[in-house]
Amino acid sequence: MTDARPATAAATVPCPFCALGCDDLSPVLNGARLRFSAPDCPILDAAAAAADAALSAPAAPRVGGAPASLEAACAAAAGLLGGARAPLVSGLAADLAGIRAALRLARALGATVDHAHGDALRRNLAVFQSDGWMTASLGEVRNRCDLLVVLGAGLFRRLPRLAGRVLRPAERLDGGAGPALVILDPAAPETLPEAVRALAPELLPVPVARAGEALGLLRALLAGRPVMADGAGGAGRAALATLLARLRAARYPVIAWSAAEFGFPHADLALEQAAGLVRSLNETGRAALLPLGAGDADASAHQACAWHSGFSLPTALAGGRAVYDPYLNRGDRLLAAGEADALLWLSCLRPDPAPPESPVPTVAVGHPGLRLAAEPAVFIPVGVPGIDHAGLIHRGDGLATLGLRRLRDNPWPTAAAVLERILGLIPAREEN
Amino acid sequence: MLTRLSGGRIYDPAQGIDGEVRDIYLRDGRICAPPADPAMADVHYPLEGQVVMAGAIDIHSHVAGGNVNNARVLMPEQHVARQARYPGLPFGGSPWSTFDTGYRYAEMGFTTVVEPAVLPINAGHAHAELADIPILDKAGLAILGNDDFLLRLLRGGAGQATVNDYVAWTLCATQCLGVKVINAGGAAAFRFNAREFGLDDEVPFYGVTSRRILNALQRAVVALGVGHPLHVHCNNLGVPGNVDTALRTMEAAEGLPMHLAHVQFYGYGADGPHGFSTGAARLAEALGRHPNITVDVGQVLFGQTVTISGDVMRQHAARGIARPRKWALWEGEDGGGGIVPFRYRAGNFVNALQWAIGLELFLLVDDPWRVFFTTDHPNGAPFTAYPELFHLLMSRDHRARWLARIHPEAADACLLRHLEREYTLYEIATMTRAAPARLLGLGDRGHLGPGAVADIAVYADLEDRGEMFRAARLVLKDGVPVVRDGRVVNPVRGRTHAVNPDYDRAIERPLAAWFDRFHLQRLDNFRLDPGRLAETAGAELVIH
Repeated sequence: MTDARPATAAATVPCPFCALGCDDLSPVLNGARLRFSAPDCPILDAAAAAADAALSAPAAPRVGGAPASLEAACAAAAGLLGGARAPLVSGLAADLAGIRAALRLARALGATVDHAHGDALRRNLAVFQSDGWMTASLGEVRNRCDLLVVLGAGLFRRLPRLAGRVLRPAERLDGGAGPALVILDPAAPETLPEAVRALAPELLPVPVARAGEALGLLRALLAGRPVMADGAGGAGRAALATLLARLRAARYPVIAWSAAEFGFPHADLALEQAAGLVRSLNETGRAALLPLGAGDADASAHQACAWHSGFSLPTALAGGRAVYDPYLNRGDRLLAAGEADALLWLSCLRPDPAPPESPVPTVAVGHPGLRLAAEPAVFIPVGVPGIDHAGLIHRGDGLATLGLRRLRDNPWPTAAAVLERILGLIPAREEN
Repeated sequence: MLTRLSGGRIYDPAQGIDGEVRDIYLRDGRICAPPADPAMADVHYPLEGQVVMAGAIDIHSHVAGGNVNNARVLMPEQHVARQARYPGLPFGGSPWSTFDTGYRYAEMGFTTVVEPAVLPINAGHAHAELADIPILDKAGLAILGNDDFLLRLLRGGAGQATVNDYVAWTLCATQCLGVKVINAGGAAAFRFNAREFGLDDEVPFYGVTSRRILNALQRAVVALGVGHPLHVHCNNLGVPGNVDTALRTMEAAEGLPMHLAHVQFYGYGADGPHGFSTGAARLAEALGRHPNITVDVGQVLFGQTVTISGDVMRQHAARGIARPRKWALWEGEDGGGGIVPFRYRAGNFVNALQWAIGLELFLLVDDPWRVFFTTDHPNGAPFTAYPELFHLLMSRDHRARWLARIHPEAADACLLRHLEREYTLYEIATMTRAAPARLLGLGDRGHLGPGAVADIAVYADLEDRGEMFRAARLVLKDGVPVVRDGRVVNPVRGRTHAVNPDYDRAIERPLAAWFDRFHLQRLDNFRLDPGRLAETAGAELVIH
């Protein structure tokens, strides 16, 4: 093909598809097909392929599986959601404008709001809200961290370019080469991604489900408490003592994880140990946490919900007031318990996260190729932020926002426009 | 459409109007000259016996940005809604939401608020959050002074012109109205494990003093013609004896304009049996000698609040006094911050003296054009406590009632009981309207002259000034009634104000290289695109 051309006047553009928020993508349009010349990232490749495939999918919304006009689909959505007594607005995998529109709609509906990865988000928040914590941004880790302790090797799968962009940048503010790497995970070294293996990490055979034990022992040793155990969490005492010595000797050790890796009961108690260890290290030296979520705009959804309602997710907006309850208001629980009678699912970054399988009538506003196990009552395809329209989205650490750009012509409205349109069709409720 | 406000008593210090009964006319969202015939007005508000002022302006209130938002999340138990205050308005049942912030400010007659701490990397977030504060006009101040690029420039002996270009570039990249510096160099020094940092201490690695950073930024703001002077959070906040730091910072300004924020937190001597005493008289006296300096007070009022600051070193030092016992600290690109919940108690000697010192500053500084009405929301108290503060300033009796209730040693140790002054409505209008507009360089507000935006607050003239200012009888925003009888009736959208000073684009070459070397974002992706802020962040930008 000879008509390949840069998709944008900007030299490089940001990527919204994982929590790392890289911004060195060089998009090239070849006809209608979008390609990214650099970087090598499986998450980006999959997202780009899905966005490409979307162009060949039918662009029309569907009501009851049949093609419908946008007007008719929005009316059907408004009827379904407006008639519900206890709607759930969830997914929220979108840019800030889409999320903000979803929150305004949820308020008008008296809905409960959650995010597709709300459970992961809440593991971190449970730590934050009970004790607080000390954290570093991805940029600070890139420039200053000299010892990175990763809880669960799955983090590297979730952030494919973490090793290259954050742990081995060409140059750092502190002049160093990048942190030594310790991974708490019983995985065999050869199962790690090549870029991670190249950093010669030390692996301690501690599964995430037992990380709290190992971290607890480190805290006890640091506090000078009498310790009888000869190890904890799968690691021997000598190995943990060595790790503690390294944490104390480091100028800026950081403990990182993705809460999505901690899918077991009371995982926040394990993460609390990490927060406590970092607090203690800071009494004389420096240390920080890098607590990450699951991506798919969970950071943006959390931040936007906090400033709209005063609370993070999940929050119920029924009766004109916001009620935050991290157990009762969980989206999955409401669906499983039959306590929600309609679902609005917003997910426009990738074909996933898909709407949960549920008998509840569902309006899906999402990626044209959204993975649908069953045909929802209403499906409205919308553009992909950062490919089909401009937007803002938070990096996974919640600090930076990425200015997403429109890279190609496309037939879809934005999620924000669709949700605003539905909102305009919801009659004002009499609140009590 | 022509609107007439008739019969009200006008307090408009910018025009020297002190309680005269006059009519005011508005057209198309602006105040206009009186028409030949008053009967031409399409809408008429008879305001006989009521007090009329321009909409109030808060120059320093932490209302948006990641640090504020995380404080909301840290303390969900502190702002539970028992019932919705405004069930019919967007998020009217969410205390401490951006929406409630807009409603509550508007109820009190405020129409403009400045978020004083926008970390450049968080600017996109800050704009999106500010955009969701209804009714009010907003602006942010961009934080500089702990940023590697500036410290490198200074270490390398760069000329002032280069610093000026960088500061102008930052204002454009963040779309802010002015520049804030927080404990200049302190957060950078904290990265090298420094736990104290004074005006003449050097930042490790860079070999640049806090004073040098302050000077460079202050000169840049002056040279660029930015309306708002450098907005300074000094070193040593909250430390007994720090009145010396404030005084030395005033000297360091070398006669150029500088605004010192929340000076109550710098009004501390180290005398007396508790090693903590009032330094208000020394501060007030020094202000008299330095007409180039303005201050806002950061008044403490008793009750539960949460301190939110970009002074990461100070917040780390305060971790032990967190009540409830949880606190959060973060470090990010070129800055950081901390969130420490706190309860100011009248029966605590230190807290009571802090309360008294703030009031002493208000009462000892006799120029309401240079002392500004803030609680450093929410650090000294939430802005919702402003009516109490108006009452304290305007009623000696009210102060006396409180003096009988606070820690007795604090009541004895302070000057407050000897201060007779009571603020007049004219002085209140100066401090909360005319002077803030002038200080921010926003000539289109803070007064009621023709051409000003029609942001107007009308109050019942009540003896209890707290009640009076708690609930404006009528508030117009851009000429549209938004509050009636103390209740929001129309949650219009406000705008966001910024300055875009000119600069030599040559600065973008070394800056782009610096981003490529040390940042996770490139320069072109780091800076906000003002043309897209409406679409991406919902912000309607006004560039001055």
